[in-house]
Amino acid sequence: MGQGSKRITIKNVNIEAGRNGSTTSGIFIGGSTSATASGADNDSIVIDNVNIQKAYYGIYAYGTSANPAKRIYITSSFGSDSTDNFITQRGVYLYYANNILVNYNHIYNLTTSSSTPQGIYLYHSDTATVMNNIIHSVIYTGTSGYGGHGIESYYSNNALIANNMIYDMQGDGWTSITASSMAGIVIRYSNENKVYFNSVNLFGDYTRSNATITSAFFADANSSELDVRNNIFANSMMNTDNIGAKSYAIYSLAAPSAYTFLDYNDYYVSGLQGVLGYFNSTDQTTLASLRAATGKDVHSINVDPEFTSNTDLHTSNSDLSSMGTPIPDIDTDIDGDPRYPIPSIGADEVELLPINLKLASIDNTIHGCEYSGNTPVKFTVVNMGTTQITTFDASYILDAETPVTQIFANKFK
Amino acid sequence: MLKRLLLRYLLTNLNSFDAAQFTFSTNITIDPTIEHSLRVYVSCDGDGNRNNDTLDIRISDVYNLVVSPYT
Repeated sequence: MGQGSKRITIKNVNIEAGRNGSTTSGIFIGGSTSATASGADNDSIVIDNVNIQKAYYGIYAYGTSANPAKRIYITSSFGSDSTDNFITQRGVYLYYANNILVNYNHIYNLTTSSSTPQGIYLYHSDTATVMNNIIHSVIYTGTSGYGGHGIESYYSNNALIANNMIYDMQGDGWTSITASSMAGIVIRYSNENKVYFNSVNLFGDYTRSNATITSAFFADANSSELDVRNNIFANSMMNTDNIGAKSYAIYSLAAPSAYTFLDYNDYYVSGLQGVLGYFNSTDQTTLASLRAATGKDVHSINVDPEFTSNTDLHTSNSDLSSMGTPIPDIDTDIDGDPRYPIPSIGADEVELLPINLKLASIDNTIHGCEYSGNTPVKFTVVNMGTTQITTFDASYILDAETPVTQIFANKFK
Repeated sequence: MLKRLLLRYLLTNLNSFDAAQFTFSTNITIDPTIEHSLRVYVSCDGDGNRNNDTLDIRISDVYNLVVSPYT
């Protein structure tokens, strides 16, 4: 589609670009002078139920700085099971494209030997909504130090990245993630990005002699006002050529102050190279140290998400049930199942347990003139299960003294 | 009296996603000159998720908070 294309729908077709070894696109939305030129006024374009394969880029939308492409809605499939028909570099590439919806896409088997492949790449593209996508097997096959990225937001503000499942990012890795080593979600030079309810799983062995790093989530030092909640970030990758390699759940060059919210996430690493997080230029090996380093993540957890498999990120792990926080307007999961009032962490909403009592808060307000020395202990519980609760025990311990336990019960029983 | 009992009844029958605040019948004594740790945990028969049952808080600077406004 050349400059000035408006109100166009492409639906129910299969597309092969014919070559995937050079800069071809299954669908190109840009200028008229060449297949890689920018173009203005390409607006209101719907790409629905299209299968794209054998291309360098699945979809490449390239607007202009002064006049970005607008209102492009993409719901399709990008990839092939046939090696000859792989997409090589990027599934969805949006460059100067604003108010985009990338929803319910399957992006898979991106394989290249040239540089970092990306499932979805936002570049100078503001106000994109990237939701309910399954992105997997994004693979760099060369030996020059690159790896796959699931979703990357680069110079792109106000993106919403939610309900996505991302797994199997491969390559030979590098010592930094910026534009290089394997990662699930990457935020660079981007502000006000919202990252909610994603499930990311990095796994597998790779080889490189350097002390490489990989991370399920990455933010650079040039990003700010980030909101990262309700995500599962899991990583069990292993560089078998360097025991000093590290596999992070979250790796942040952004300072804690760059996060408006960072909470209600599940960070999980396993294997000899697993490190839970990186903040303040320091490895944070435990959830406690991560909290201390950031002053955030008070409600985050560190549990094995127990995915159905490495390549199926659904889960029935009750440890994730009702451990998230409600996010306005995200009321379904990746399968369209409703989110509960207090939702699960991750892209897949976990079924409620029959009995699940949650201690929500300790409510003591000991400050200023309210201090008396002799203080009641108040707390709030929430019934997260399906069964009515009529009695429970509660205890408190002050300064490692003997616990004080009390039964709270229905007085009419 | 009846109203008070009814309130207790409602508070202790928790349906799905009901929240309620409770208070222990015994108080704690806080020394304002030192930091205190307070752990609270709940237990319910058949609870399938024990990872959301415990919270800790630290109580500190009570002395300063009390005194500072008046010095």
